[in-house]
Amino acid sequence: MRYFKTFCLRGLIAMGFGPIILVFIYLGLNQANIVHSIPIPTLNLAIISSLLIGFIEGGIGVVYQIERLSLGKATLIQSLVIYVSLLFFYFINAWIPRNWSGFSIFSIIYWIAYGIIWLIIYQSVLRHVRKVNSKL
Amino acid sequence: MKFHLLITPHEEEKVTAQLHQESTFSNDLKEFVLSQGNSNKLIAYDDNDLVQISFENIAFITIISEKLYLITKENKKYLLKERLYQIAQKLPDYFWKINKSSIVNRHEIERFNVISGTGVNVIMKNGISDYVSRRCFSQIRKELES
Repeated sequence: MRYFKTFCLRGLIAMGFGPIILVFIYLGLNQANIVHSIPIPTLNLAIISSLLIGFIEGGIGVVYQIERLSLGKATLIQSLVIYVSLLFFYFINAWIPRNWSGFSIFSIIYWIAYGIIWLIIYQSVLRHVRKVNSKL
Repeated sequence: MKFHLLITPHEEEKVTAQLHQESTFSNDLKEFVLSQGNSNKLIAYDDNDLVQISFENIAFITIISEKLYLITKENKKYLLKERLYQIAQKLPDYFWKINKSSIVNRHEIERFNVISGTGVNVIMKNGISDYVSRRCFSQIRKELES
């Protein structure tokens, strides 16, 4: 129950960023002459989707507070939740093609990007740990 | 119960209590007397026996099954009857908090390790290991860099 409350609180704080990011994306697409006008139902779906994406991605960070979960499992859960939620909302908004090609390209980009970010964080932590060990 | 105070400026200070039996009162009194003037020791319990452990001998203080324990360099475990925050206030600066349940003696740290890619573990000289939270590791880094 405590973790659910934390999930919701974190989600509520983060969800505001979703529509802000959406604004910049549409601004960029408009500037690039790719999008000129959007039907209201499409826009509403996009706004709600960006809110929920922000809520889920922000809230799922709570897994790292669950002590009985190892760090590896917590990282796996977080990456899978983000992946599935993004895939779902990208499909329903047609932000990626609704076919195997769209699914594959999205998946490849997502896992490569996740891997790169993980590697950057890993290198940073390793560097800090080596520095601390040298000063012990 | 009577109280008798004897002021003897040139004799060794001691507290003597005469009671019908051992009780909570006698244990509290013993703990109070032994903690006075021993600012470099902690009062701990080995089964029901009260012992004093010097700070230098303490490697690790942690919560196990909702009870607070002190683990010495020799890996002996003693029960502490205070809360972690109360113990933390008594400890000198060379004790570091590593997560919300544990405090370590920095002189007894063997090394830190990276685990699961982005987490940090502390390995003690007596073989004990525990995870280090990001916040605590950041504070340890700042302290070592200052």
